[in-house]
Amino acid sequence: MQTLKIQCYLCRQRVIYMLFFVLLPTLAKAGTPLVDISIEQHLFIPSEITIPANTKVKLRIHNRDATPEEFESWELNREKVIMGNSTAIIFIGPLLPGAYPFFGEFNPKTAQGKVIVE
Amino acid sequence: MLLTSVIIVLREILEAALLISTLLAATRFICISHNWLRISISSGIAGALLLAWQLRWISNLYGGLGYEMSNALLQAFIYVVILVLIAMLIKVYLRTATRKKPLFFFMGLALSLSITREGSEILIYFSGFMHTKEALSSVMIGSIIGAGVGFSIGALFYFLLSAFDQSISLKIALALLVLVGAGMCSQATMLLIQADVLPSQRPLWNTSSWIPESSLPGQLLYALMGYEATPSPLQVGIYVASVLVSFVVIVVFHHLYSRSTNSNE
Repeated sequence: MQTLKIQCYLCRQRVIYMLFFVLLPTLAKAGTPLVDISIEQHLFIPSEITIPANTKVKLRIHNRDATPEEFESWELNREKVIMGNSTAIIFIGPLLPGAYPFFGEFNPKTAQGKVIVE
Repeated sequence: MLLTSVIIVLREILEAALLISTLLAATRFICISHNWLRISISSGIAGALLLAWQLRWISNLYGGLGYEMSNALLQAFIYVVILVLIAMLIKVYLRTATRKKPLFFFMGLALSLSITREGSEILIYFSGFMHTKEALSSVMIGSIIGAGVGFSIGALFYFLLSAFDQSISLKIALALLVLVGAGMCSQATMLLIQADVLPSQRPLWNTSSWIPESSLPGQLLYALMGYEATPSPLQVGIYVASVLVSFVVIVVFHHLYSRSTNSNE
C-alpha cells in the first residue's frame, strides 16, 4: 500500500514536470503575434499582410483547396508543403522594414503574396 | 502549368542528379557494377512514395511542425552518410584491395535518401492533378522536359568531372561531397529556424542582387553547395562547422589509411 502511494506520488510529480515542460514553451510563445492566411482557389487570402519590424510572427496558413500547395519565399527563406484541406504553421521574422514576396510553388501564376514589414 | 512543372521537376531532379554524378565520378577508378545504382534508385522511389503518402500524418506531428522536423532529420542523416562515404572513398582509393560492398551500400543509401526527399515533393505536386485529365498531360510533358534537362546537366557534370585525371576528379568529388553535406546542414538549420526550434536572426549578408536564389546559377549553387542569398549567422556557423568536421574526417582517415598502407608494404 505504501509503495503504491509513493508510486502515485512519483507519477503525479512526473505529470507536473511534464506539464511544466510542455507549457513553458507555449507560454513563452504566447507573445508571438499570429497571422492567419487562407489558400482558396490557388489564391492567398489576404495576399498582403503587414507585420511589425523586428518581431517574430507566427503564420498560420489554412489550405482550403483539395490540392497540396508549397508555401515558398526566397526573401523570407521559407518553404513548406501544405497538404490539401490542412493547416500549417510557419514562423517568420524578426525582419527589417520592407516587402517580402511569397508564392505557392505549385500554382505560382495565381498564388502570390507579400509580407509588408513596417 | 507546363512551365511550372518544368521548374519544379528540374529543381528537385537537379540535386539528386548532381549527387549521382559526383558519386559516379568519385568511383571512376574502381571497376564497379552499377547494380547499386538500380537498387538505390528504386528504393529511393519507394521511399518517396511512402513519404508523399504519409506526409499529411507526418506534418501533424510535433504540433504541426512534423514537416520541418522530418526533413531536418533526413538532411542531418544524409550528412552523416556523406561523412561515412568520404572516409570510405579515401580508404578504397588508398587501398584498392579492400572490400567495396560497404562503399556501395553507403553510396546507395545517400542516393536513395536524396531521391526520397526530392521525389516526394514531385509526387505531392503530381497528386494535385490526379483528377484533372487535361492538366495532367501538360504537367507530365513539363515534368519530362524538366527531368530531361536535370539529368542532362547531371550527365554534363559527370563528363566534366571525368575529364580530369583520376586523382584530381576524386579530390573534386570529395570537395563537392563536403559542400553538399554542409548545404544539407544549413538547410536543416533553416527548417529548424522556420519551426522556431532554433532562434531566428537577421541575415548575415544579402547577395540576392548578385546571384538571386531563383535564377539558374542560384539553383545550381543551391544544389551543389546549399547556396542561400540571405543566410542567418546560425546557418553560416553550422555550415562552416560541418565543413570543418568533414575536413577533420578527410585528414584523419587519409592519415590512418596512408600509414597502414605504408606499413603493409
